[in-house]
Amino acid sequence: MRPALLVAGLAVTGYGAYGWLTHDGAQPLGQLVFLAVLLVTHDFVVVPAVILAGAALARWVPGPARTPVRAALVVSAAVSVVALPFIVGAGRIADNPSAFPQHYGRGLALVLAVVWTAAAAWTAVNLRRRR
Amino acid sequence: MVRPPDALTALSRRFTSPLRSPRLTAHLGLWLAAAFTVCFATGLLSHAIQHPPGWFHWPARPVQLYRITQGLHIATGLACFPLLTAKVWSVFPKLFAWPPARSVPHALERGAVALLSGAALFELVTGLLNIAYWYSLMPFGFVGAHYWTAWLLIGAMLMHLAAKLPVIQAAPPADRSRRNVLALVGAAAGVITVATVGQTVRPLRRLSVLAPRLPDVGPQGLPVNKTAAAAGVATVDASYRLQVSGPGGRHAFSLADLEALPQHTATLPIACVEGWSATAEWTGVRVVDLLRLVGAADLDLPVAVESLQPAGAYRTSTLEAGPARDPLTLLALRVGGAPLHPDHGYPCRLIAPNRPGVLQTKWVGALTVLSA
Repeated sequence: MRPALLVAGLAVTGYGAYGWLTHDGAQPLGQLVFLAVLLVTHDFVVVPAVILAGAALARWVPGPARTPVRAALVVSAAVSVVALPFIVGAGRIADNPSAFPQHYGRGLALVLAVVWTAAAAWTAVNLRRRR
Repeated sequence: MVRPPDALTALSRRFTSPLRSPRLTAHLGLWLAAAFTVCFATGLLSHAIQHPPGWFHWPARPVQLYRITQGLHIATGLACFPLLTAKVWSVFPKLFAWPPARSVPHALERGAVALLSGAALFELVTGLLNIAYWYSLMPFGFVGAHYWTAWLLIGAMLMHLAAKLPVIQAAPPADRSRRNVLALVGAAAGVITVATVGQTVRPLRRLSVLAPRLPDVGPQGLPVNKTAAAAGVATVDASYRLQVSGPGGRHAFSLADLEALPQHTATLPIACVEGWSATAEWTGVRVVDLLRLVGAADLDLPVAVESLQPAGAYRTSTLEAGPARDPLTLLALRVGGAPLHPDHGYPCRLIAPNRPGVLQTKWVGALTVLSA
């Protein structure tokens, strides 16, 4: 099973690398820089930031609120990333109001409000149980 | 062997979260593998429909199939954002392992991991930028780069599976705290899905406050990808003629001629490659009725559909022989009972079942029966 997976993986990667470099309109340098910047940013900025936030949380957020706050932070961060390009709105087209028809800043605020309200309610339940 | 700076080794020992475990990583990995497989399969399918190799044929039924596969492609990709970060978080101390490679197989294994994470980030981020039309951030053409990076991702994923299979098989069952991490990641993915999937799942439209499109917003209550102005199509006047040519001759139809032909109504979705879709009631002439007038109704030949737009990658599309003769394949003159808005393709547009939106050619000027 493992040798078969390895051979298949090498073959598919080889095919992908060939196409990646040579397809019609390929811009290998631009593609490579973009991939490298994403990888370095994610692994050495985003993930460490998540870890630092987790450490800060363990230190400063009291017990009953810790899990709800952690959950709310994770959900908030993930939704914010997906919402960001739409909030920036660089792709909006002046004569096509049906593309990106919503107010995305307000949309994100609404989602975050729901998430943090849920976290507050969860904390309240934890406090109540404790008494 | 060069020793790493003490700060580095000391650093990696400080990542002490008890939540990290091979089991958790394996779980997250299997979720991602399933999600990437869905994205790869649906993406290849969409690519094959738009750039069909000789052996590939895409049927006109089920009517809703493309809408579902492409909706799934986008929704699955968006849900992967928290999964991918959680996966890297779960193995973060290993990034600082010393020595970086113990042997050639180990070097290959780590190389595959780097390629896998890089390609996965590339696919998720370029996909997101594409549905947001943020092309200025990408120093390359989206379609080719997104397509070919998918092959790199799947190749690297297979190599990574080959390396990690024993770890996956040996990992003990998840305990409660690890299940909590999985539930949290699942919740983040779920919130993203609910906040966006209303662009194709209409009942969730009100909840999807971050959906890039709304299925009922646009001219005549229907979204538009390319407006008439953006396509460079001028207002069509009385001199408009639809040219239909086939083995039995050539016919030119004015708009009045088309309206005088038998009209048929079909309820069909516009399903965009960007993941949104909207159903509407289209009325117009069956393509097969037009083919009959040029002696091609019963021939097993494809049909080229040509737009009045002067340029653009989607100026023409090809209808395969079978779908061209499907009773639901229309040259639509009306939507929801009213003449098409210019942005929906006035004077007429192609609307066919189970077909990507970019191939539902608008502002049709000519139908040509091809020789093979």
